Amino acid sequence: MPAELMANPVNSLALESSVLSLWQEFLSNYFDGSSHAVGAEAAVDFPLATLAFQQSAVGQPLEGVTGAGVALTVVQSEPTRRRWKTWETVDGAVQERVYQPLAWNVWVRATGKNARALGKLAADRLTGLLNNAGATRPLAQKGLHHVSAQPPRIVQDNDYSLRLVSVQGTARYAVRSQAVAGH
Amino acid sequence: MLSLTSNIEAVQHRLARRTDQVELAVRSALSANLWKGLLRHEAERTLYAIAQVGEQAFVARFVAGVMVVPETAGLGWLASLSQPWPKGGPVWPVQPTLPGTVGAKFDPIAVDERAGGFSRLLGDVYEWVNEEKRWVPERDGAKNYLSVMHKADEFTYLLIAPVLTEKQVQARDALLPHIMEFTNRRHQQQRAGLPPERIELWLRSVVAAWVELVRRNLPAIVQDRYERLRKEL
Repeated sequence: MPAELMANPVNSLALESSVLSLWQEFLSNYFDGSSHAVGAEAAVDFPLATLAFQQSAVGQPLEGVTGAGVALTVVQSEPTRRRWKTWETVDGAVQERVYQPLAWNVWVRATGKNARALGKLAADRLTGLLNNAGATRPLAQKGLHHVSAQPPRIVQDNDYSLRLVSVQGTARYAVRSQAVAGH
Repeated sequence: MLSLTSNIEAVQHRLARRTDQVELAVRSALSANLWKGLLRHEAERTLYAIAQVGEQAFVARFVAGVMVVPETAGLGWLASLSQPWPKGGPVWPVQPTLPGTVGAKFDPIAVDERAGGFSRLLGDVYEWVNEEKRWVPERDGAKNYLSVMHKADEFTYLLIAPVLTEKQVQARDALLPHIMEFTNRRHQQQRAGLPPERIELWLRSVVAAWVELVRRNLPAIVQDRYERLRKEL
């Protein structure tokens, strides 16, 4: 069973930061240079990776924890569809339940002698991980549902390897616009 | 008396209208204005994400250039990007005096003249703190605009204050070579232009991001426009 996440659930007042915090914790649980089971699959090795988000620059050569030659940069992209809403009653209070489709581009970079192998491994692991509903269950428990990834797209594959993994999902969160029943 | 009527004309009319609606929806979903904005934002996000330290200064110009591609498919802008960078220049610090290294006294006024003002100096220090300084959350707190600016302010004070304690002088002497190295490297890079291999990588990355953007969004936009048209008609 994948470990539950400690980060706060998706929050209507901090949509971007709460979602990125979930990604940060989820990805760092796997890309730590150890073996991890993915869903019901047997444990496989994950490379150690430096994680970056949105516009934070990754040093060159890739820096971070000793031995890391891989960096994953998660960038939020255009949402594919408009959000939709439903109403629900929780403990007598009516609230809006919002479903917000989201998309991210994950840039997988690797440098050094093993860049090609390392970049390929990291992108493959990432895609497999995000397409495993069992593995992404902790994200769903925090409001990030239907996560899926496209096969990696190779941008460059030499001693500086760059791959793009396109990811989609739906953020589900409450908007407490009314404290009492009736809408 | 039995009479036979047919509604085939009404059915055909409705079908024709439906076909028109689909065509309109597709045409509306392919609107140049809509996609120009989406493509521009995606290019910016992509380049800021993959830019290495010191390369961010090229992003705006590159995006302006790369936007020519969807409009005219012209690639002449590639040549212009490898030309020397026109902006910037040898500003702060050309060769500040370092106590203990050249035997001269640190001269804040000289720094001010070379920098073209404290605000420029503060800007350079801000960029160094933001992009290169090792940020330890336990020691430095959460990294955001305010906390980075606070540090930059603190370090800039160390660089320009005429009277410092012994401890502050030590801190300044430790910081200055790093800030100088960073700033000179950045200015040299800006003058030299973006290397051709980075231009190629940036172009490929932007195109890859665009392909994903269109793949993800086009069906949804067509559907959205179609539903809107159906409501309107």
